[in-house]
Amino acid sequence: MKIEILISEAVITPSAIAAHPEVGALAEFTGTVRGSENDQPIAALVYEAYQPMAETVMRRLLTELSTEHPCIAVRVQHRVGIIRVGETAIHIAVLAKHRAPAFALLTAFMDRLKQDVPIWKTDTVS
Amino acid sequence: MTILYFAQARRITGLPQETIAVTGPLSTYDLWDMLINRHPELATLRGSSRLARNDEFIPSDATLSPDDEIAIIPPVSGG
Repeated sequence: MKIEILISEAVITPSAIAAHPEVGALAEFTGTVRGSENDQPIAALVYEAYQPMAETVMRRLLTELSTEHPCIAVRVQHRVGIIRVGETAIHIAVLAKHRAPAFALLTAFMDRLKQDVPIWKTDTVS
Repeated sequence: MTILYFAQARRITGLPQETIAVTGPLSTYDLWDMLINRHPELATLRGSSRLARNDEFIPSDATLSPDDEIAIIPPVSGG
């Protein structure tokens, strides 16, 4: 499975993932910043990453998960720094032959990311 | 030994990293004791944080070497 990971302060603009003749499904997830945190209105969240480890762990998780949910390619973009309400914090695109492994990989990866990938919401901006 | 601090750990210590003098192998328990001695408020993270070395989480029974670079990983909240 081809894996692309990008952690950056740049605004996430999901670009077209490379076409592949075997692809029959493209599953995407976009995580955005909500306008409240702990029931308090906020203007932005601040994200921080231990970038080398975050990339290594994401790659390891995706490789592990691809044995159970075989997919063709996945791209993960995670933004760090100040991310304003409504802006994208994470975007994931998964290409597979069929929809089931694409959805399954996406869901399982998000669950594992929230347990094991060293990225933090460190602060709120009101 | 080099210690890397992230998120709440960095906020508590006020440091992104520091070098501590270690003369020989030590346990993760010894390391936490040393770090809390330097930064008492780190005790609040001891139960919930993990340690990492070479981009991998390490088990609590691992042995650490003086030339290791150890990251303190508070509970993560990405995505």
